[in-house]
Amino acid sequence: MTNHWVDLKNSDVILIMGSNAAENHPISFKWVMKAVENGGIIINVDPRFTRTSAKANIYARLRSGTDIAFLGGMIKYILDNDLIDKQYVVDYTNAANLVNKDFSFNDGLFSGFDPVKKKYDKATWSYQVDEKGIPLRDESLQNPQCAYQLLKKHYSRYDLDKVEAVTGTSKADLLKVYEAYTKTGAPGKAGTIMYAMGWTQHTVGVQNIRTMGIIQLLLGNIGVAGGGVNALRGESNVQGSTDQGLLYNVIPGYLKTPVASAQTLADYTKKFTPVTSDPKSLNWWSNTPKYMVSFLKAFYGDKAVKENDFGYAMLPKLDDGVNYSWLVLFDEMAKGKFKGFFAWGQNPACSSANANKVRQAMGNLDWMVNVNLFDNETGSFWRGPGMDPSKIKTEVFMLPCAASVEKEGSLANSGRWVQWRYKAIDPPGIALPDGEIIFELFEKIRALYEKEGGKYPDPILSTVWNYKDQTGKFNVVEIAKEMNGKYAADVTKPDGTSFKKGTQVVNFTVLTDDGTTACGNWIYSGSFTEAGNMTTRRNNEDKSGIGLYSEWSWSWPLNRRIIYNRASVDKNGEPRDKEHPVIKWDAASSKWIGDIADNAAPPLSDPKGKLPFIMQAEGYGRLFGGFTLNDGPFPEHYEPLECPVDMNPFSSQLNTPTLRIFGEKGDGNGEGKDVFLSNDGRYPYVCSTYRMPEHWQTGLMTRYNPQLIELQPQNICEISKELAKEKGIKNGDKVIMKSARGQIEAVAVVTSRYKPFVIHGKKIHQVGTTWHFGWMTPSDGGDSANLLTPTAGDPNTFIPESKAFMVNIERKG
Amino acid sequence: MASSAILFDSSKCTACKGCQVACKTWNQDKFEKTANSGSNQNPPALSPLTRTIIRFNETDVDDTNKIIWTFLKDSCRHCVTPPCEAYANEVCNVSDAVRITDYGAVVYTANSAKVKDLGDACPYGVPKQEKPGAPYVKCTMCFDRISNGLKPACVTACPPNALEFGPRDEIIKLAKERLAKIKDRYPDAHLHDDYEDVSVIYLLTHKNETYQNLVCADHGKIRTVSRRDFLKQIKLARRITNMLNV
Repeated sequence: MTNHWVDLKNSDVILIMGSNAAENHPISFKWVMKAVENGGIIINVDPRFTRTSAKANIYARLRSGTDIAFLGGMIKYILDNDLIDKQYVVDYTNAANLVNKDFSFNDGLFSGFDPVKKKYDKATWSYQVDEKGIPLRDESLQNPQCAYQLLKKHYSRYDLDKVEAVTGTSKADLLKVYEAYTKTGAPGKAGTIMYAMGWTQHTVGVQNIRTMGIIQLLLGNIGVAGGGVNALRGESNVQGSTDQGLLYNVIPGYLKTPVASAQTLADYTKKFTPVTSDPKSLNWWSNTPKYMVSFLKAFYGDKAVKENDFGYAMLPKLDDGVNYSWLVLFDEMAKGKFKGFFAWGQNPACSSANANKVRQAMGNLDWMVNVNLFDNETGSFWRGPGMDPSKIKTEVFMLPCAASVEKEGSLANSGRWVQWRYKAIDPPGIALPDGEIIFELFEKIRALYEKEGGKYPDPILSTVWNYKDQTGKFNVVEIAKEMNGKYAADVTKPDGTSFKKGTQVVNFTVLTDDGTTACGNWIYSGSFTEAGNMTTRRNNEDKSGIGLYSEWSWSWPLNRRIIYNRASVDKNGEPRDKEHPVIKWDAASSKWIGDIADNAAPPLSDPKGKLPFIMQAEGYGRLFGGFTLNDGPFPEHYEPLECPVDMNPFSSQLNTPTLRIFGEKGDGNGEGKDVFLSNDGRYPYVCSTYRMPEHWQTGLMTRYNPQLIELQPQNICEISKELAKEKGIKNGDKVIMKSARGQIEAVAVVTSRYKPFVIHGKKIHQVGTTWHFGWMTPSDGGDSANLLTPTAGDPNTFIPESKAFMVNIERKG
Repeated sequence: MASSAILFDSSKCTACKGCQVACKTWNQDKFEKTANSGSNQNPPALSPLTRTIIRFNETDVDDTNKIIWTFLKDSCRHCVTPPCEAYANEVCNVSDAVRITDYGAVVYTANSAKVKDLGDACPYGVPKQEKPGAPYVKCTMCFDRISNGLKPACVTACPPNALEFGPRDEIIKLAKERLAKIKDRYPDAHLHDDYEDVSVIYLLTHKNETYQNLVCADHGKIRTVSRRDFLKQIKLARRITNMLNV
């Protein structure tokens, strides 16, 4: 979230699209309802009428996988009717920036496409610059090569007729949504978006979100109270784990993972430190060397010195251009490419797309360690449906771990609030907190290296592992301190202040690249200073008047509650929304008051003023952007890998051109376990998988709970009354859902909440099911819906496309 | 101690069933073995093990592609003058089966086991017993919590604040204020017409018929009469209705 949960109450229009917040983020509705009490409205766009839709002022249905067409139509509506927040767009976005003359877009392809490699050369996705390297701008927005005009040209193709034909949303409903949402372009009005997996789990997932980012910039909705682009995280600490480098492509604090082509620290900083010559741009990532060196100092301590590049060589490196994400890992596992697997706090036998492939792949392992609260379909895959235990060699170890209330530590919510949580009770039996398991595991591995040597033991032997407290026991507080960072040497500053080695730093603004500071995660710097652990704060007084609650817990970065808040003020530092001021420039003290301002520099009209989008090298919010994305600088509608149509009216590209096809090359449909079938009469219905409030993820924590299984005892297949009639299915019947990859059983819920769509003049049905169930329990609950989903991922994130694929349904028996 | 009441504000309820879980947890009620019958409503009805449920109801609106999907929290309404009390006392001659606490909560004692067919006396089909001769079970308004300064478990658990608890006169005032506030958005919004007779006040966004008619007896056997008409009809009704001034 750029904003945070409480801030939803400041919104004038809440668009809930790509999420089902009432069901899957029920607490969010505490704040959504406050917005409604304050006169705000809810718009919900979803293929299915949900519990969220039931609360919405405006509901519109769209076919799953067509969000870019829907939102592209909104961009056209904004531009055709000149509804942009002009001052914001000109001053704070790259609308005026002139784009490379060689940039082009033709028939679904951007310039630089290599059809053999299915990759883009992104050289032309760039700005025209002056002799100093500063982007050229035309603030009249008339230059045909400026981002604004290119945007206008691109989305001029998204007319209502085409959008209706693709999405299945009626023109009347499209206009109703466009009209209501775009009212937030007026200064002082704020619109927000609540999205989740309904946007990410597509082969155009990142571009779905980019489209909304563009809309929010055009309407001046970023940086303001009640605005922003807000991802609702699906688990309570997913934000925290991402912050700590859970994904393969980033290390803690979203620093880039080192790659093989950057063998030295100098190579790394050159490759990953963006530059700007514009004095008005702060270009925050120019601090990359300070954060990286401080990270290395935290990692290797006294073994990290200038002479050895602070130990940079010891960090593991990715091979350039190789993808190490989930789908790829399991694809490699299926090919027998690795021997061991830690399934830590997860249940891939049920949670992973194309779960049959995953279950089979696990049989190729020598060993698996299953770290979880209970045994699950993953740890017991060898005795699952269709498995022959006598033929599976994989040895499975179960390590029971502590549940959330059985351990202490921090938890970062979707709104970046990092809150300390205390242990309520001891874990049962031999179960341990995850941190303690990792701690002991590393101690054992290091002891083996110490004793037996081995290839290149240096990284293991040099790693700082001081997480014991005075009692000699692992203490998670030590990790929290390391994340904040400390002085790694006695330091005297030019102003005469001095700090002893070991003193906690005040925040990341004092980190350096000379080895005198150590910091495990720069964005958490400021969370545990000499004043103590800020995440334990529990002052629930709101001094801001807009619900910032700045002394409750701590939020990264620097306790800033609304990111890009410098965009909420005019060039003189005056709040543009007088009712909900986020920050304000106080000329008398030459300081910002309110939220922690996104940087301390004076307002933009001051000669020393800075542009608000500090994380972009050029300082502007990017209408034309996606410079580092694999699939294009403007979002473009492409169909899901499995879709009910054989044409795309926007171009001759049916699917996103940079899509990776898994499976053996054959007829282009993938093969074997990765087979997919589009526009195929055998699988005529669009399907989504989703969650419901009564269960949690793969159901491991809820299916065993009699209280919750009572509420939703079996998996369901929701279908429209029209489809039920066609198929002779009655409410409550058992049905078989089948895809090209697998099948499951579920109870039919026949409902008016699904209706057939008319797509290019043809009737198309959509159905849905939850992915909460698995074969272990309950016995009549049904197996995982991921047996149906395809091995297809977004070209950037590789998140699987589980929201749009094709199935068939038959009544059982 | 003033009479208390609960407001159910259907404009805020998201049917997350947090109230159902909180109720069962606080009362330490056993769980039911359920099956899905093609609905989110589960358990399907009130039972000796289930004191509150969220009822789901879909209504098609002509052919405009729109539907109304309502959620209703069903449980004891805690009548100001409970027909179940009158029935136990006057019809069955069982004293102290039904008590009205200082807080206005209607609770059943062990003596209720001696009452036959108590459910028939309730316009809402609330009292349930495991078998004939067992005490009746229903919502107690968490009188054990409220007498200790806490709110009922369902109210405390409700994420969108669709449930409010307080002195009855204040809750009725709040209900009227909320009604005025949502009337623009929901032209059919109303306080259910029995609100003067009960302590669970329903603020409803849509017409009564979109809520399984609000009267909920056994699953699949939904009564469609008003409280007043119901009370006029029940067996030996004369004596009770005189008492209840219907």
